[in-house]
This record gives sequence, C-alpha cells and structure tokens, in this order.
Amino acid sequence: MAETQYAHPEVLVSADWVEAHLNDPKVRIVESDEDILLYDLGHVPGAVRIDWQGDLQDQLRRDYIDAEKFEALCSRSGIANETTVVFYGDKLNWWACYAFWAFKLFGHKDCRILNGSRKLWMDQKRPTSTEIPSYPPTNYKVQGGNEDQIRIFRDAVEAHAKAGLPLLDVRSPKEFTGETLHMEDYPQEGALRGGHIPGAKNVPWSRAVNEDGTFKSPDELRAIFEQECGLKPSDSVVAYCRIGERSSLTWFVLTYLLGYPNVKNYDGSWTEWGNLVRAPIARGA
Amino acid sequence: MPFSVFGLYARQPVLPWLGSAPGALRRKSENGILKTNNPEYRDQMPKLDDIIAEMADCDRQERIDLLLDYARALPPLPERLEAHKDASHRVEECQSPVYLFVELKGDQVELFADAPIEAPTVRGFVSMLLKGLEDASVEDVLSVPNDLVTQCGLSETLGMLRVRGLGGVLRRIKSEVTRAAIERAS
Repeated sequence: MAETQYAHPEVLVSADWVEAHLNDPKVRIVESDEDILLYDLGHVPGAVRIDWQGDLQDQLRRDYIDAEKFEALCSRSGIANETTVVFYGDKLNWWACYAFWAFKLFGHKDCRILNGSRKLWMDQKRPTSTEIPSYPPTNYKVQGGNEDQIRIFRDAVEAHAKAGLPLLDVRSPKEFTGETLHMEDYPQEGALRGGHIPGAKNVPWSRAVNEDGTFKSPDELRAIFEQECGLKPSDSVVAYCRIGERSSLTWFVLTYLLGYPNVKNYDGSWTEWGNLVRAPIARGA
Repeated sequence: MPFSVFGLYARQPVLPWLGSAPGALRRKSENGILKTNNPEYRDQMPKLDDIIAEMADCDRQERIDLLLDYARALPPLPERLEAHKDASHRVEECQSPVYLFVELKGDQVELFADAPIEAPTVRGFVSMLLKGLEDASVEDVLSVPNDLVTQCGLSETLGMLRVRGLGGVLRRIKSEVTRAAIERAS
C-alpha cells in the first residue's frame, strides 16, 4: 500500500546496508555527535567525524562555514561531489540530521541517514573501531547551494508568522510555554525571554523517533503532523527549536519521510528570537 | 537542605570553619580572597595545576584523547555508595546521570563520582577533577579556579554550548565540600 511508504525511502539506510558498504569507496560514513568524545570511544569502522560546532560552524560569526571551508572539510574527509554520505550520531540522530541539513545547504546531492542512529548500531553490537581513518583528499567543488529552499532568517520568519502560515516549535513543552528557557537537564543557552513565536504549534522533535533510534512509520508520522497538527504536503512550513538542531531532524522528517517540498529550518531559533528586541512572543500552551 | 549553600558561599570570608582549617589564614590574602596564583600556595596543590597545564598544552585531538583516558580511568564507585545514587547526589546541570559524593577525613577531601561511559566528556572531566583533587584540603577544593574548564582549553575544544554542564560539576563539588565542612564545624 502506498500509504506505508516514506516519500523518499532512499535517504534512509539500514544498519545492514551500512555494514555491507563499509569498504565501498563511493560511500563515506560520517558520525556527528553531541558528545564529541563518543567517536573516539568507538565508531563505525571507516567513519569520519564531522562536528556540528567545530567543523560546520564559523568560529567567529554565528553562521555556517563558507563554501571554501566546506570544500576543504569534504576534501579532508574523503568526500567527493558524487560520494554517498551517510550520517549517524548520538541523541537519536539529532546531530546527524543537523549535519545532513548543513550538507544540503551546500547542495551535496547524495546524503542519507542511518536509521536507528549510533544507539541501534551499538545496541546491536555491530563492529566498531577506534582507528581514525584517513582518505585521499578530493577535489570537492560546491555547486550552488540549497540555502534559499531550506533555511530561513528572522525577518522572513516574522512575515511567515504574521501570514498565519504553519510554524512548528519542536522544543520541549516547558520551553514552548515559556516555563523554562532550555531543555530539562540542559544548560541554559542565553535567551532573555521565554515562550514561543505566536502561532507556533508545539511538536517535540523526539516524537518522530522510536526508542530504538529508528524513525516512526509513515502512518505514525502522518498521524502526528497531519491529523494532529493539520499540516498538508503543499504547506510552506517553518520549524525551529533553540539553535536549529532539533528542528533539523523535524525538517528531515517532513521533507524526506513525508515528502513536503517546502519546509525551512529557522536556525536562529529561540536563542535569536528570545533575544530580539520587540519580537512578538506568546506564552503558555 | 535546610539552608542555601550558595547563600553561605557568597559570604565566604565569614564562613565559620575557615579559621579552623589548617593554614587557612596563612593562605588568605588581605582582602579575604584566596590566592590561587601565589607560588607558595600553588606548590601545595600541584596535581590539578599539572593537569590543567597539560590539558592546556594539548592540541584538539590530544585533549580529546587525554579526556578519554580519564573517562576510562574513573574508578568504580565504592559499593557502600552505589545504593545512594539518588537525586540528592545527582549533578543537576548534567544531562547525563552524574553522581557526586563528598567525604571529609580531617581536613582532607575525598571525592567519589559515577558517570556513564556513554557520556565520555563529562565522565572524563569528573575523573580528571577527582585525580587532580586527590588528597586536597577543603580550601584547595574551594580555591580551584571557577574558569577551570576554559583554562584547560576545553571551551575551545568542546564549544561554549557544551561546557556549561562541566562547570556545573565543579560548582557542585565546591558546594558539597562547603556543606560537608559546615556540617563538620557545627
């Protein structure tokens, strides 16, 4: 039945698939974690580490690295323009989806996610290695990014909210209501005001993922995003969280698993909005 | 807790036990602030200083490797403490379950901790602190620089967003040591 299929099933790969492609030169496995020591503790053999903060973000401005630095990063990671890049990581692939989104900013064609994340790989006691691999450099060239389609900035977010278009706040319920400024058990990251962008619906990111690390089925995802939130595939949707990381997982789910062509991640997210002078804010559920 | 540790901590110069800690007055500067850069004082606390210096000298990958070594080397919690891994011993700032126990033997502080190997960064940091504060006095612990995480170069390696939980570990150790010292004094 068509309803039980993901819209773009090819972007999800299984642990079996990854294990069968460990030595495939056309495939590069990338680990992206919140705790960067995890990679050194043991990773999928042959996987390289790409750190969302140290590698993908500009160290001076709040922004991503530029095309030139991205090319250098890909080159030293043994990633060529035509390489199939498979991301996985801790926290149920939340950082993997962030790296996936960043790669799409630069227009990398073939990006995939290991369904089940680092957790499933470790839980199933699949092979790991502590060896840090090195690959011959490539001649990576950024060929026109996707930024306009998948990223949105504050002014456009305000216009989107004013127009009453769908806005998903994927933070925890307490962050959404304004009771706390950060996830429970996480450190505060510097927003001056609590609450959410007016009109946003609260759908915590983790609802899209099963406990074993795999994504929920298409029908379960539709129940959340369509029956519950009233979204439809033709909608223009903006997702945000605190710094744009959790919402990149929601962006991935809507874009690739449910096939929504017009979803943007607001990476400024609450650490920008909650600090903006005169930005409208709503509190409470 | 019947009183606020932080409230008392803020009034540090008048802490009731400070005068009774051996060498406490000698190590105090004129304005009551403990000197951590006094060479004489530093000699008495070489371990943590050595660790900080070593960490600071490392490049990014060496620092990660060193922290991992510490993570692997954290001794298991003594059996008698295993049963006490409850909310009152948990470090709230850490998203992973990190437990800290402070005991005093005379003026000497004994620290015990538990953190999962699945959270290697915080486990490594806790282990590093325990090693660096072996045989430390109450005052040694309270004199650990609050920006220790940055001094070790960890802010640079881990990024600002990741290090705040680590700062929480240090704050927790200090507040627990303060509490234990006050209990002993009363």
